[in-house]
Amino acid sequence: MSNNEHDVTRRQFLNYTLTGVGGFMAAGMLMPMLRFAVDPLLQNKTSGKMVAVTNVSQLTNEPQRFTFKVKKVDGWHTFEEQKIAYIYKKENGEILALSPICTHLGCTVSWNDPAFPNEFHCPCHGGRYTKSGINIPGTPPPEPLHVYDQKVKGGTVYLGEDHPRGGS
Amino acid sequence: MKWEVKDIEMYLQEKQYIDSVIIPLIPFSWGGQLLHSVREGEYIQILSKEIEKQLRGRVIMVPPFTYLRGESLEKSLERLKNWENELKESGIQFIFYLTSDADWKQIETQLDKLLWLPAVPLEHIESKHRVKFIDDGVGDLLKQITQEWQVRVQN
Ligand code: FES
Repeated sequence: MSNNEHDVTRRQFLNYTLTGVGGFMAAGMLMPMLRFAVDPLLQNKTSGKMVAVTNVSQLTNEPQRFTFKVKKVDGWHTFEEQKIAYIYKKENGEILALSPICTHLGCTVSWNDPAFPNEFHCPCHGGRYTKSGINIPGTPPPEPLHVYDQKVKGGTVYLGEDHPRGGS
Repeated sequence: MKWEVKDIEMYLQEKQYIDSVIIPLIPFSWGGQLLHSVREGEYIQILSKEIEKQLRGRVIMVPPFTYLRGESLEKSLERLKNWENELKESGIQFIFYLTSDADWKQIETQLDKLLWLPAVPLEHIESKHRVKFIDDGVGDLLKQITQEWQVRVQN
């Protein structure tokens, strides 16, 4: 008798647990679908944001290296990515913020290497760019360095995404 | 480049430009040396990530070569040489070994190019100084790597 009772409770127990597990599995499948649907909205919010990088008073006519952090979403994983910008003031007072990612195969270029004064130089295959980021013909890069979106507010320089620019 | 399909597809297309591989050498152990091993491993992984980012157009960062700390150096070296041969046969010109394990320095001359630097106990360093420490370490390694590229071009 008591055996029988045990059987019932065991079956009930199994039922409950299996429903529970099934529920988890269903949730596991549905959640990513939901994320896919909503993700573009979420992403726009984070990627469209501009980040304070430095003060205008810090800028000179010489490109200077600044680092800043942006939030990135990769799948379900949010992380902070460190970015670099070379920023300077042009003759006409305009601010130019360049991305140091070489347009050839993506190494990081540096400014004013002793062997390449007043240029951006890529350590990987000798890519070279002028001060304003224009690729020097005869070196591997196919296009100029990308330029960051930027705005100045209350004396602070904010940077956004970087974009290719036409023509070389 | 990373050990990821997207990057390796690019490698296959642009092979003539990508002639270098970095192999992190990371010891494994448990027991008394556990924390020591983990610290060395973590430090090397952080540096690898940063170096990959800066030199990704010419370098592939491959999965770490791991070995038991108790394993004899000759044995590790023998296994490592198999990796080296595989890479050399496929046309990779430069192989850099990145490690914090000082044991490798004893056989440095038998390796293509050993990049050794002592692990820093990052967990005891304030976060703003941590960035500086890593930057310095990375800068030093980049210099060694690009120097090697230049030296061999001239020879
Ligand atoms: S990645 Fe810069 S020149 Fe090739």
